[in-house]
Amino acid sequence: MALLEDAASLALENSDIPDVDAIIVGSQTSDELAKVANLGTRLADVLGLSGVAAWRVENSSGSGSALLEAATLAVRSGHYSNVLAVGGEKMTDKPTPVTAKVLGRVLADTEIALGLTMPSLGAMVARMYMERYGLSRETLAMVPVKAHANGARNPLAHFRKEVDVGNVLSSPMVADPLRVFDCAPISDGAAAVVVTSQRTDVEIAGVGHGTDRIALADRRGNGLRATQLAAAMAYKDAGLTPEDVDFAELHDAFSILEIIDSEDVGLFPRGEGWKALEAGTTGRDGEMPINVSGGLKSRGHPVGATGLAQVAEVVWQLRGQAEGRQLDDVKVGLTQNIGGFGSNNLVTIMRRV
Amino acid sequence: MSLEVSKCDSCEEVLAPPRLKCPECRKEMRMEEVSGVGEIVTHTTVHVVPEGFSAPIMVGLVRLDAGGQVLARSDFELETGMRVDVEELEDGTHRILRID
Repeated sequence: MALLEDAASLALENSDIPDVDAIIVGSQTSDELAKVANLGTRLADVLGLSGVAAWRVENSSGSGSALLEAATLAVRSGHYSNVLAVGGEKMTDKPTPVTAKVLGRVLADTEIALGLTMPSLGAMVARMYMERYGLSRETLAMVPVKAHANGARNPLAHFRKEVDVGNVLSSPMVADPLRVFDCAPISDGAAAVVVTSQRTDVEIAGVGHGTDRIALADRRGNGLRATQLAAAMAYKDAGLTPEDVDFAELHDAFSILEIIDSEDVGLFPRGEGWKALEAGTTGRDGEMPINVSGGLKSRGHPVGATGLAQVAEVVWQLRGQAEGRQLDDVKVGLTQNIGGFGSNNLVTIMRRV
Repeated sequence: MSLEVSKCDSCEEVLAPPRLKCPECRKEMRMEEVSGVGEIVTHTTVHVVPEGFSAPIMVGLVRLDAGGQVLARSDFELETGMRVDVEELEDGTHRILRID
């Protein structure tokens, strides 16, 4: 609760909104890992906002973006004027095997029965992509290397230490071909934003949301359909195209996902995301910077907070407030947030106005 | 081995294990016994396993010749493109078998 309260208080302080008329809060595992429930009411109470509407959105690791979607639609509808959107997760209180098991509940029953976890599915998707499109293990390692280089410049990141390809390739194997350094960490953290009907310097231009069949074996086609559907909806909502996007925060829970995500949201053609990575296009100084915050890998992955942490990074970049990692002259930023193993994904597009 | 799958007459989807309703078109699915023979699409060996399981777990995604895909464990090393058979176990999970 302290994490949620801190993030919420900071967001309220940084906005010019003295009062909000609703609170939407998100967490995937608070009941089991942090032993706390009724988050909406608790948060209203501790923030001194008792009386306002408050509720929780749970959408696995996509909770942050899903609750922002709810806040955006609540404000667009005119029913509420100012909505506080908060997501957080306290994950490090339990031993890793327990946390991994709780996180794995989002998978299909058939996958859980085989003893599979999130990284197991990430590994199978990684192998499929590598064999189909010619991505090498060494190039894949450039995703966490870039993430750590970016995170080292972010004062809010979980890990602020640079790593090299050798560190990644010598880290312990989790699920072949993915190693420890290909996987986002278990983190504690929270993020919050205030969504308002008032005119401000940053607008939520488009939101999109899609699902796919829950079992990996039941899915068809390349990439993550849930992201592709969400991206199409978000671009349509915003009246923008991938060509308008200046930078993106993508859900790199596993290294391979950053590459697949970058193709699914239309920034690169299918099978060519890794070439952009290799060429430096997605680096901090490249034409399409991806995960300048450090991404899930380095900034951290407190699951319920992640989607909103991505959004906070985009807002800071658009406002010129990204201390130590500010991009030059950016106007449109995109976030992509995954729920489950790629089965319930959201895309949010923000624009400086 | 023979496997039970479900087929959708509307979108021609094949799902294993079988489902009552097609996840795409809400139509009732038809149950059918098909051969478990197919090809490995992707695979992994899991070294970090959840509570209650012992490592390593070898698992592969098999594209059935009869249509549809099934995720199954294996007792031997897998390779993409390998021709295999799949059997259904008592607990409803699936296991990959060698084809000689």
